[in-house]
Amino acid sequence: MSESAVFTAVAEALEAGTGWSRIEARGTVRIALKAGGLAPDSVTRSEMTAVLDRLMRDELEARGVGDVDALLGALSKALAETADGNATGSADAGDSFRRLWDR
Amino acid sequence: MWLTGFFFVATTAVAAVRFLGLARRTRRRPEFYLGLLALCLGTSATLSVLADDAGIRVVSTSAAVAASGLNALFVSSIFADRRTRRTVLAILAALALSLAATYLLGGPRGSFVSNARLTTCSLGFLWGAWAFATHGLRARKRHAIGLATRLEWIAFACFGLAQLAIFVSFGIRVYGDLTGLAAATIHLLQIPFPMIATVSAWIALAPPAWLRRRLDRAPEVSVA
Repeated sequence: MSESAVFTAVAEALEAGTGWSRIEARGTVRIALKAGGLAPDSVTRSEMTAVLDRLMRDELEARGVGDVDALLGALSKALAETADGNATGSADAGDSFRRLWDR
Repeated sequence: MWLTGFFFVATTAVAAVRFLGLARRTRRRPEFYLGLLALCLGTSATLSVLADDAGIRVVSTSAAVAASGLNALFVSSIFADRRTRRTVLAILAALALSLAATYLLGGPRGSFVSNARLTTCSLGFLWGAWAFATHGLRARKRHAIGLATRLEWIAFACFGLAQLAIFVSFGIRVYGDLTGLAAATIHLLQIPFPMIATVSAWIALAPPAWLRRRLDRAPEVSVA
């Protein structure tokens, strides 16, 4: 499965900031995305921002990361430097319903 | 039964006009399929209730078959993304082949082919129920982190419930035919389900203004 540029950037920043393996870092980001109802291949920057703000702290603390605030700052910085690319976001079906509602 | 039938037919007629009008304006597939789907469900219900004994049952069945196919197209038009396109196409192809085969083979009510046709129709709606329930759960998670409104996940859940109700209604008919239940008993058992389907679909597809004011707002989220 192809992953969005946003997913890759955050996973690589997590790998660099923790010393975890590539699989561990990507797996952690995947788990956080799943908890937020999002998918690695379509997640956008704004969606990932919400995940970092509201879900990633718990995931990092559960894995015994020391300075969570500093790591979250590094992840946010990596995210800010990444464009959405071809990511479509996860709300396409919601958009279809909204067109019907807004008529 | 008559009241339920009238309510269901009137609702599907209004929905069909509404969605086809929207499709004309937006030129998008989901609303077009929905409009035709509502039309077929209404036609099927009308003919089933009013003319099932008048020798035009085949028209009623055609409408039910078409409704199932259109529902599958609607579900696929919403959910077919890069990850699921192959699965969606496989399900669509299987449903289409089965519907076409059972329709061409004919068969009177209660026969194996007739029951296979109804079962295929109901599977189309079961798939829709599963797809919308899954999407509703995801939308609920997105709502929890501020990326969706409460109405979005409730709408998905309601549309899933509507499809489940249609599936159960078809299922009762097949079960009744297989076990030799009287037609009146089958109709009696089916009564609640068109009502559930109608109300749920109405909330999902055309939520009233007061509900939108109350539930379609950006969620308040506390940062962990």
